[in-house]
Amino acid sequence: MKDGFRQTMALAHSWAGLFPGWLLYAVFLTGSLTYYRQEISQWMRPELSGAAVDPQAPLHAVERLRQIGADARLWRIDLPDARNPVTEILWKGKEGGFRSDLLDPRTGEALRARQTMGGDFLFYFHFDLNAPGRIGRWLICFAAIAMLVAIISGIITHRRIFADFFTFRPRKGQRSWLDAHNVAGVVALPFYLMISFTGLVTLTSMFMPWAIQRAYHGDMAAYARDLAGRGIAPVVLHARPMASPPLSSETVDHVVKRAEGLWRGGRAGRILVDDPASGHATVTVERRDSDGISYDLPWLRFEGDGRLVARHDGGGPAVTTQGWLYGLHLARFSGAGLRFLFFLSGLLGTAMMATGLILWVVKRRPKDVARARPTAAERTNVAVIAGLPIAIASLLLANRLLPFGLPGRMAWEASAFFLAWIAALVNALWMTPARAWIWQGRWLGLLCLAAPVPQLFVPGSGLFAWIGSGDMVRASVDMALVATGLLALGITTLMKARRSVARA
Amino acid sequence: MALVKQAAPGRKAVLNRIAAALGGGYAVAALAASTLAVMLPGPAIEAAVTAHLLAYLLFVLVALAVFVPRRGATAWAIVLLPCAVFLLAGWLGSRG
Repeated sequence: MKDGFRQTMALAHSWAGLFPGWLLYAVFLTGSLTYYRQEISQWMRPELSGAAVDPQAPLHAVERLRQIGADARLWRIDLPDARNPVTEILWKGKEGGFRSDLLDPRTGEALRARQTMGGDFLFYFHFDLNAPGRIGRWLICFAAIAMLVAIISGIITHRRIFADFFTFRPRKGQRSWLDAHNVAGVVALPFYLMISFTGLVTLTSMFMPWAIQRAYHGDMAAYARDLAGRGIAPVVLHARPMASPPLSSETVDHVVKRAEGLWRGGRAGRILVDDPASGHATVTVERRDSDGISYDLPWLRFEGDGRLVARHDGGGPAVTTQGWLYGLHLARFSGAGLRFLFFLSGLLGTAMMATGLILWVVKRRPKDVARARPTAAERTNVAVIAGLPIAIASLLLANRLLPFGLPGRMAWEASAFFLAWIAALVNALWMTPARAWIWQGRWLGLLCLAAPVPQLFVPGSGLFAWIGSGDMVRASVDMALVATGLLALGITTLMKARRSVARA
Repeated sequence: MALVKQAAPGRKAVLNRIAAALGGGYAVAALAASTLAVMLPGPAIEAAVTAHLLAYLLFVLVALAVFVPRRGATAWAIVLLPCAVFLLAGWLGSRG
């Protein structure tokens, strides 16, 4: 039985691995970068260098919202933290529709930054692929299942899993790709298991909504309320007062401090104000997501006069479990060291996909090299493995080059990403893959090296100024770009040298 | 490697298993989620969340299991049997 299983599995893995491989390569690469979403966002908004965390942030944010969203039905304030030193406000107008703004936490003044999605572009692409409808998400979910099956069956059937971990035979063509694929696959195996299962959990309400549909008779909003503990009727401690004066910023500041006191060290992350203009506004303070692993966030709700009327300290066992799974995927809780490990594991996953895809092609190459004609899979490999990083580098460079006040600037950045990717695809279709690898490797290197350059011409900004002023977040993104650029150029040069040797 | 070389499974057989794993696995998971959501005790939110987390585990189990049997019919039986059980349980549950 076991050998039949092994063979069927091996066959399924080796030739059905191609399509999910392309998909998961993109998911892993953009997902790994998403661990540094806030840092990339900061880099993509270089004007916001002055912002800093400030205890007065809630006070200033409410004052600002009272000026610009006085008749709104909902205010939402995302407080600054060390990784994201700006206050984000969002308000829902009387006729619906949301508007948002970025504020300086120290003054409450609107920050004038370039229009950009920042790191959020990569975050959304990671699970949506910017595909029409929800097709990207569906494909990714099925690919995640395929990956779980591949990992678990690999553990069951792979007899030499330990030995393979220590096996690398370089410069042996197909065998080297196989060894590299195995090592990348085994090193971070627990991470791959965790990340693909928890990834499915994050998309449950779309991919596996049937439990919710049945238990809530199709009312997804009721599920969301229950999940956050908001559907449970609050304990009303007192009868509602007739009407109190409109909410003051001092009240909000006061309840935030009270919430942080009640959490004993937990910090407030988000403030939600319902019906701020009416006499019966409520203020809900949510704990910061980076204060714990679980994403089942505790919250406290206060009346406009500062009385605590409801609280949520975590759901039941199932909700808690789901909160942990969800939280593990997002890794908001992780400090710098753990975050870097997550990032490295994600990059290893990316490498596992890339080496597997290349192995797929190398294995099927006819023995007679002279008669080998490039296949569609080989060309697609170039367009995906080299093309996606080119697209990402182009997005970052476009962020620097597009004029500040350009209408529809955000969409232009996305266009730069996709146009660059299409260019890589066209290039891979028209050149032989061997040349296209070198061509695209060079382009990737040059784009990565170019991305930090424009900011050097802005006074008081750019890599050297950031190092001087201790702005290590933006400086690190710049240095990562330079390192990636040099690496791409180095690998390309090596490839070119080996090709010339092979031909001579 | 086995000493006696067995007939390698054909492409068609593997495609069949992949369809059973992804399509069949999804069907089992969806039916399990929907049935368990109303059968499990406790508040609705706990039942629903337990149901879809268990459904994911079942999905992976079924998707693995269909690759084990030699015959394609057995693979589909692994899919259809739990489907029938959950349908029946759901039907009985909705009557009670």
